[in-house]
Amino acid sequence: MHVTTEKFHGRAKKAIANKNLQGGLFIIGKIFTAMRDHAMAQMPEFEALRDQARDIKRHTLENLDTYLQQFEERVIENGGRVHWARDGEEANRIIAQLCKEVDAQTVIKSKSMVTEELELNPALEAEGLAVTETDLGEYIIQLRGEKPFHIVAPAWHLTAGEVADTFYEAHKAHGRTERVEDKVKLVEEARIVLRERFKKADVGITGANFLIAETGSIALVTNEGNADLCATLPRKHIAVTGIEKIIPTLDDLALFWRVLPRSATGQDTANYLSLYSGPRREGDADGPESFDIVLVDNGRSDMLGTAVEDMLRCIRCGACLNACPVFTSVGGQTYGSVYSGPMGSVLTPALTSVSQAAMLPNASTFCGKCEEVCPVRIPLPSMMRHWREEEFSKHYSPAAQRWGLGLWAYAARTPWAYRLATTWGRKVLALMGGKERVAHALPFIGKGWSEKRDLNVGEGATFLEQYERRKRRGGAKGERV
Amino acid sequence: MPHPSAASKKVGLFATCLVNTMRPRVGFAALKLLEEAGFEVEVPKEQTCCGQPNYNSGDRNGARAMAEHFLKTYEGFDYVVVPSGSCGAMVRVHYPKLFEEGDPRRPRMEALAGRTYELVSFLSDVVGIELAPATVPLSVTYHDACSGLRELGIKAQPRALIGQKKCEVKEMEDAEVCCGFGGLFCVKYPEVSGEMVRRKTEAALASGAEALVTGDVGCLLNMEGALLREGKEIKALHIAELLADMTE
Amino acid sequence: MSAREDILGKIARSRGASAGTAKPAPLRPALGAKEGAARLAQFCHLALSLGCTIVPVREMRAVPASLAHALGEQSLKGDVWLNDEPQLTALGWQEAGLSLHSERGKDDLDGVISVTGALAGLAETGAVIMQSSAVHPFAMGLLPDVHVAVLRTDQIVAGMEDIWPLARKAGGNRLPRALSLVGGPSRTGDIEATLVMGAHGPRSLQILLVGEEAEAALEPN
Repeated sequence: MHVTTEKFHGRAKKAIANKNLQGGLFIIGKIFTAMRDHAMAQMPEFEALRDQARDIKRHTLENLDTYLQQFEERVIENGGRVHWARDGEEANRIIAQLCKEVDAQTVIKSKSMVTEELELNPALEAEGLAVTETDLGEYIIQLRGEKPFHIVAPAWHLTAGEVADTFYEAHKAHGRTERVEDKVKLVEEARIVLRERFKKADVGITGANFLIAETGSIALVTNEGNADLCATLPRKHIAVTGIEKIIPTLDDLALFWRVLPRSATGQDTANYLSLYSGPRREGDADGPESFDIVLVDNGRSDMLGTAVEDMLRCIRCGACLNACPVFTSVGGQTYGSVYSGPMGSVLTPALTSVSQAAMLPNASTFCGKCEEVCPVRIPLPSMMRHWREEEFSKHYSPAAQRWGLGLWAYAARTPWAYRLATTWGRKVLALMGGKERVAHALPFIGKGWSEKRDLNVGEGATFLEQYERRKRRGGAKGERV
Repeated sequence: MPHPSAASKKVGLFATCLVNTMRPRVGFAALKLLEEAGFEVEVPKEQTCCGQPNYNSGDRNGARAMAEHFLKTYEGFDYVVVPSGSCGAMVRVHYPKLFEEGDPRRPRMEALAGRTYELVSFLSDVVGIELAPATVPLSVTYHDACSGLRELGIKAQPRALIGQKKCEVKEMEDAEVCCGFGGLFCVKYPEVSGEMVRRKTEAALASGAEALVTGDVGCLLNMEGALLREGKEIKALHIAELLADMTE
Repeated sequence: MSAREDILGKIARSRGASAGTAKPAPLRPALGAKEGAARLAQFCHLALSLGCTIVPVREMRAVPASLAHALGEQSLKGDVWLNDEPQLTALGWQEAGLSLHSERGKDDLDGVISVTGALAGLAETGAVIMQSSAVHPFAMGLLPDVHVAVLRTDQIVAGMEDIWPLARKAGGNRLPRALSLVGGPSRTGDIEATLVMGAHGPRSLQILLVGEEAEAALEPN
C-alpha cells in the first residue's frame, strides 16, 4: 500500500478552495449524519445493537484462527477454495493466477477497499487483463485515475459536469457522441456501457463485507446490485477480503446488516444484502463455475494483541468520516491513503508505518465525534494518540517540537520557571497587540493560525500575578483587580 | 448567599494556562462565582499546565510528570475547579490512566480526579447554584466545546445557567461541531483549522445572538480570532464571564 | 512455511493475552418481530417506501390476469420471461394474453420483464428474498428491466433470523449458492448524491402480493 500522507497540507489547501469538492463534503457532513441520526432514533435498540456488534467482533478476534479455519472448511464443503495471502504482492499474484486458470481476458469488479489497498487493478492490468470497476462511483474515479474521495461515496468530490466530461472522453470508443450532464442520463450511459462488460466478463471480483464462519459464505452489501452481477454472470467469482471480516454465524450477520446501512448512509437497509456460498450447484440454472476466496493479512495479524487491535473491528461504514470535522473540511484524497478520516488515520500507520503515515494520526482535534458514532465502538481518538506516542518515542516528530515540549514539561514541573515564562509571554503578546490589544500576525508556530485569525491579547498581567497582588493587598472576596 | 454545600469546603482553583496568560478575567469571574457561593477559594501559586499539549503530542512521560505536579499542588483541597472542559477532562478522565495499575500514585490520582470539576458542572451538579438575572441580559449562542461535551457530559448545564441569568439562548446550527482549535492542532494544521472555524463562526453569526459563549478559552480565542479578522460584531465570552456579570 | 500456516500461526501466538469475551445473546429489534396483520402491513409499508410497487391479488389463479392488467396500465408489452417454478408455470398465462419466453442467455434476459417467485418477504425491511436454484436462474432478478416477484402473504417473515431456516431448507440443508434480500429496485447516489433508480439491476421491482388479506394490508389506515 503506497501512501503520500506528507502532502497533506498542500492538498488540504486545494480541497478547501475547491467549491465542487466542498459541495460533496456538505452532503456528507450534513445529510449523511442527519440520516444516520434519524435511522438511529427510529430503532430504540440501536445502542444495545452497537454493544453487541462490539462484543461479537471482540469475541471473534479473540478466536480468529478458529473461526477462519471453520470458514475455510465450510467453503471447501461448498465446492469453493480459500487462498491465504501474507501481503499485497502475494494477494495480487494469487488473483492474477486465478484469472489465468480460466484464460481470462476481462475482469469486472465491485467496490472493494481491500483491493484498493492492494492496488490490485494495476497489478492485473500489468498481466494483460482488462479490469472494470462497476460501482458507479468507483467506475468514475477509475476512468479519472483517482483514489476514492470517501469509502462509501468515492466520487462525491465531482459535479455532474465533471462526470459528463469524463464519460464523454471515455465513451467515445463505445460509439457515444453526445456529452450529457443530466444525472439520470449519466447513470443510464454508464449502465449501457457496463452492462456489456458484465455480460462479456470472464471473471467477477468482489470484496466481502462479512465472512460467515458457520456457513462459509461471503456477505455483500450494495445499492446498485453490481456485486450480485459480478458474483453471478462470469465463469469465475473471486472474493478478496481481509481476515478480520469474519463473523461467527448468520444470526450475527443479521445484527451487522442492521447496523451497517444505518451507520453508513442512514438507510434502514441497503437495496441488495446478499450471501454467496460457493460455485454453481449441481442442477442450478446459473452461477459461476468456480468460487475462490482470497484472505488477505497484509499487516492485520500484526495488530492483534497491540494497542490498535480494536481497529480490526471496523466494518468500513464510513460513519466516522461523515462525523469528522477534519474529513468534512478536506475530503478523503487529502489524506494520501485509500483509508481516510479517523478510521484511516488509525489503520494506515498500522498497515504501513508510523513514519510513513505520521500526518494522519495528528490530523485530529480529538473532538471525539468519531467514537460517538462508531457502530462497533472503536476508541478512535485513543488510538490516534497511541500512534502519536509511537511517533514521539521513536523520535519521528520534528526536533523543534520535541524540544519545545521538553522545555514546557520542565517549566510545568518548576513553578517559578512557569510563572517567568508566562509573565514574559504575556508582555510580548501585549507588545504585539499594541493599543488595539489585537495581534494580527503571530510569529513562529502561530504564523499559520494568524493567517485567518486575529488574536485578542487582552490587557494587564497574568491571572496569577494579578491574584497575588490582590492577596497582598488583602483584597476582598469577589473583588476584581 | 452562601450555599449549604460550601460549608467549610476548600476549593482550589486551577486557572489553566490560557486563562492565566490570555484571559485573566475568566479567572476572576470563576473566583467570584465560587466565592459568592460561599466557598473558601485558593489559587495555588505552584499551579502550572495540565500537560495536555504533551499528552496529545505523544509525550506521555512529560504528561505524567505534569500530572504528578498537579497531584502535589492540589491534593489537599476538597474540590478542584477548572474553568475549562478540556483541562478539566485531562484531569478527570486522562490523569488516572497515566499511572499503571498498582502504582501507589494511581489511587491518589483517581481520588483527586473524582474531586476535580469543570466550573459549570461544579456549579450545576455539585452546588446546584441559583444565579441572579444578568444586569445586562444578552441573547447568546452556546458552542459546546468538545472535551466538556463528550468527556464530561456538559450540555444542559450551561444552558440552564444561562437561563437563570435571564439571557435568551439562540441555538446555532451544529453547536456540537468542533471549532477547529484542538490545542496544537490549530497551529499544526492551520489551513484545516481555519476552515473549521470559518464554518463555526458562520453558524454562530447566523444564530442572530449578541454573544457567542463557550466554556473553553482555547475555543473562545480561536472563534473570537476569526470574528475579529472578519470584523464581525458579536461578543465572544467565556461562560464564567457571562455568569459572573463580567461581560464588559 | 505456507501463507496459511504463517498467518494462522501469528494469530495463535497473539491470542495469549486476549480476555475471553463471550458472544452476547442475540437481540432481535421490535422492527423485526412483528406478528400477524401488523407484520403484513409493515412489509407493505416498507416495500413501498423502498420504491417497490405492490399489486394485491386474491388468489394464485388470478396472478396472470392481474399481471396482464398491471403491465397494460404501464403501457408495457405482455412479453414475459417466466422462471421454472411449478407454482408459476402451472398458471394460465396465455389465457391472460401474455406471451411467455423461455430463453435464458445473458443477452436474452437483458432488459426484459421477468416473472419469478420468491423465497420470502421480509417485514423488517420490506425486502423480497431471492435465491438461486434449479428453477430460478439468479440472473433473472438482475438483468431484466422489470422484475415481477410473486409473493404469497403467508411467505412474509418477521425478521432476518427467520430467513436462514427457510433458505437452508430450500438449499437442501445448506444455504443456496446465492441468497439476496432485495430491497426495491437497483439505485445509485454516486453522482452528486442524487438518487437515480436503475443503476445496474432492474429499474422496477413489482410485487404481486397473493392472499385474501393483501388488499386490506395496502389500504392506508
